[in-house]
Order: sequence, then C-alpha cells, then structure tokens
Amino acid sequence: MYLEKLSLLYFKNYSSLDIRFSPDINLLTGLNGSGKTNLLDAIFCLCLTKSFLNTPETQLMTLQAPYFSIHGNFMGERGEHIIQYNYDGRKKSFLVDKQSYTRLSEHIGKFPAIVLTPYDTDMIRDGSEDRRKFFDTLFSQADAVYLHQLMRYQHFLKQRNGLLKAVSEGARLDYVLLETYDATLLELNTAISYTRSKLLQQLLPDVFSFYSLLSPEEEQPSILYLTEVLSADFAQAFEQNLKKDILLQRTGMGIHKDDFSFLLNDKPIKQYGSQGQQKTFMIALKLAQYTFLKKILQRRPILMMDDIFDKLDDVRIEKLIEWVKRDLDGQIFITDARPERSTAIVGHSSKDFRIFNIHHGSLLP
Amino acid sequence: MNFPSRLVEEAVAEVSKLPGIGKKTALRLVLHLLKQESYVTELLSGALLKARLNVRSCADCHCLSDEEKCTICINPRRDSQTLCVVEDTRDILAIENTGQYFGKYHVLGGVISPMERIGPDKLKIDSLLEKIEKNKDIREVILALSPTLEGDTTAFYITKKLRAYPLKISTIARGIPFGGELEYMDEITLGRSITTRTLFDPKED
Repeated sequence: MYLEKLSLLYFKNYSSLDIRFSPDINLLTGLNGSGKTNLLDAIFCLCLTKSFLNTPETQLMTLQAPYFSIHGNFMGERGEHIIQYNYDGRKKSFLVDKQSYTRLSEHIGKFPAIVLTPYDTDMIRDGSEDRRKFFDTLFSQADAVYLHQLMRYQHFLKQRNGLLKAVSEGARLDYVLLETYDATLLELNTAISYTRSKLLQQLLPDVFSFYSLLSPEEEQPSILYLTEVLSADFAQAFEQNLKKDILLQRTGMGIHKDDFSFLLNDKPIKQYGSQGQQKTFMIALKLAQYTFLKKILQRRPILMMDDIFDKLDDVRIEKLIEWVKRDLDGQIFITDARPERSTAIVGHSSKDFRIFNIHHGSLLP
Repeated sequence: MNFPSRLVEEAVAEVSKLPGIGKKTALRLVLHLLKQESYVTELLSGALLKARLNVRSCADCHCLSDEEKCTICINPRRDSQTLCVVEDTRDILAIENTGQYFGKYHVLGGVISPMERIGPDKLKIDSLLEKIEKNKDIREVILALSPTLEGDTTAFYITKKLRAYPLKISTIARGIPFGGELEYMDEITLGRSITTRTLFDPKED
C-alpha cells in the first residue's frame, strides 16, 4: 500500500496543497519551520486517525481557519482507497471511500504507518507507562484476544481498587467479592504476561539484526521483560499484599507494574548508552516494529523518518539509507533540513524517488 | 428558550428531566397536552400519581407489583423449582415475552460495581440466599444477567455464595444472534460460540 496523492486545506501551515508522491522514496527538504513534519503528520492522521505529535484537532487547523481537511488517495493491493479527514472546529468526520466507521478504532491496522522521530529516544528515559503503551499497542494489533484481555484487566483493576477504597473508608471487606476480582485478575495477569513475553521474543531477533546493520561495533542490544507475574509465588505474594493495597487504596502488583528494560551489552542503555547508541537502538526497535506489523497485517506499512539523521554518524546514516534503497519494499518519506546530504545518498538508487522542496507551507518547483 | 408563560416553562423543565427527553421534546409534549381537553392531562397525571404511590416491590422477588406479592409469585402454575436471577423488572418483561420460561424470578436491582459504590450489600443478594436457604424445593438457579464485565462478576459472586447448596446453577447461553451473519461477528463472541458449541439438534426451534 502506498499514498499516491495528498490534498491539504488549512492544515497547520498549509493553506492549500496538492501533491503526488513516489510509491518508493520521497524526500522532503526545506528549512526549519517550512512544514516538513506537518506533512508527515497529515499522512499519519489519515493512517492512524490522529496526529503523531498528539496535537489536538483545534491546533491542527491553520490559525483562524474555519476548518481543515486532509484527503489522501492510497493504492492498495485491491485498488484505490480514498481517505478523508475533515474537521470544522467542532465535528470530526473520518471517511474511507465515503464510508464512516461506527468506531474509529476499526481503522487502526488497515492503513498501517510507522514514524521515526527524534523524540523516540524519550521512551528510554520516560516512565514505564510509555514503554508498556508502546508494546501494548503493537501486540494488540497482533492479537485481538490480547487487546480484549488488556481491556478487561484495566476494568477489573478499577473495580478492585474501588472495593479497596470502600474498605479503607470503613466498609466491611467482602472476601468473596475480593476473591472474585482476584481470581479474574490473576488469570488475566498470567495470560497477558505470557503474551507479552512471547511476542517480545518474536520481536527481538529483528531488533538485533537492525541494530547490527546500523552499528559497525560488535554491540548486543536486548530488551528485558520485567514482571513479577510469571514468578512461581506470584499468587501468594499478590494475596499477601492485600494489607498494603487497602492502605494505598490501589493494587500494587500485576501487569500494570511491568516494565521493559532496554539493554546494550547487558547494561541499561538509559544509564550507559551514548546519545548515538540510544538513537540507534530506537531506530532498530522501530524498524523491528515495521517488520513485525508487516508480517501480521500482511501489508506494507508506510514508513516515515522525521529528521532522524541528527546525532547519527555518517556510517550509520549511510547504512540506514542503504537499507532503504536495497531492502525496503514499501513507501517511505524522509525529511531532512540538509538536502545535499540525503539527496546525494538517495541519488544512486534503482528505485523511483522524488524530492520535494518545501517552503513556508507550499511546494517549490 | 424564552417562554412567554412561567407555568409552561416549569412544566417543560419537569418533563425534560425524564430519561431520553430533551428540552424540545418536552416542549412538544407540554404544548400537546395544553391543546387537548383538560381531562386528558388529569388522566395522565392521575395515572402517574397512582402508580407512584401504589406500586411497590414484590416481597418475594422484588419486581414491581401492585400487591404485597406480584402476579408471577402468587401464580400456582409457575414452576417453583427454577429461579431466574435478573438485574431489574425490565428483564422479567423481556423473558416473559419469549414465552419460554415458566419458573419464578428474583430481581437483584443492579449489578456489583465497587467503582460506582454498588457493593453486594446494595443488591438483593442476601435475600436471594435467604430464599434458597428456606425453599428447599428450588433445584435450579438460572443467572440471566447481561454479558457485561459487571454482569459476569455478579454471576461469579453469586455462584460462589451458592456453592454450599445442592443446586444446579446455569447461565443463559451467549453467542450468535438469530439472523446474524458470521463474517460480521466480533472475534470474542464468535470465539466463545466456537468453544462452547452445542450438539446439532434439528428438532430445536
């Protein structure tokens, strides 16, 4: 699947734009603030129904504009699809071939897209919640049952916490009800934990091979799944934690406390990795995500690289571009503020490529 | 909305408090009544007031009733060996309309949800246990609760509480609705229908 045509009206700094892309490599160049990232965000909006920068809709509109609209023509294995995303300040309309969804979430996975940004490395430093969210989103697409289990877990966790709250406020603890929640949560804990561990193992070989593709050093990247759930005495520990749970009015153990530790040569990359190593790690993880999704969804996601050459040495940039030219079999969008660098590298390719020079929200010839 | 009449405004405000009725519908209803003869409104308000003052919950099954016990509970032809546990009176109506059930009912008055501060003590669960303790002729308890997370929790909870009694505890079947097409079914329902499949019996229906 690839994006053939994109039309924007009043989207961020584009008042009006019509653009035709290459099915292979698209290079977007322009000065800082010209609108390269906004263009990627528009594409992302069509694929995932929202901005990858988490910008609210009111701020996706050009200042003072009455509405915005993004239209895209996608060419898939089974013909053309038109996606329209309009917002008039109050109402969002999201149509695929003029049809709306009952739930917008049904769109996820049909037009997959992955974006690599300079902010990706934040995930290494941020709290465990962001890492869980990354893997949960990915694994949910691979396994509908996993998503269902996660939703059930979150729900029952809230109910159990509601029960704990009532008890700490003086209500009598109904042990049968607590047992009911505990039994369900225990079962879900085990199932979710098992799936997390299993799917991570499927992802890891690709992380490793992408990392070694990029890095000339002999470095061993790895991701460690940290959970209390799979230990043999979890059920017992969970039970013994009850007093503390009542005191804190929330459940202290379970998969909502899991973490994923990113390692390089068995040491946490958060503390021991250089900026370049962290960046390489995240690129490898994102490209592994790309491969993973491609396999599951049986369609090629659109790949976007937003200004990721910063802090990467020339060897790594060259290796990455080489992979794009040689091995990538889907559409890619690359933004770069320094056109001479990327143009030179992309230039000697057998693939179709187009260069777009963007200036203040419009296209230079 | 600006009303020329304060009395109309007050009536609209009251009617629009009803579920599913907005300001505009409320206005339409009030204006309609004002256009009719005054006895129409008297009949309506009289019936509502009479219902409100006289309807109570059945001492046995807790469904809405005019007398101390409801018509189902005092009906000697109802099978008193089966007891169907439901959330509220509306569910009784739905099951009665099927014409497939001849036992008695027990209305819980809701489902367990500690988040919303509804614990088992807020529901008619103790009275269910009492009833089963007293009535030794009850053989089967059917849990006819909505297939939601709270419904399932409540069913699970009741099952645990009833474990001590020599009862058959069943739950309504869930799966593909009549006239439903498989390809449009969600994976969870379809998956469950496959794992809990039943033997094919052409004599059914």
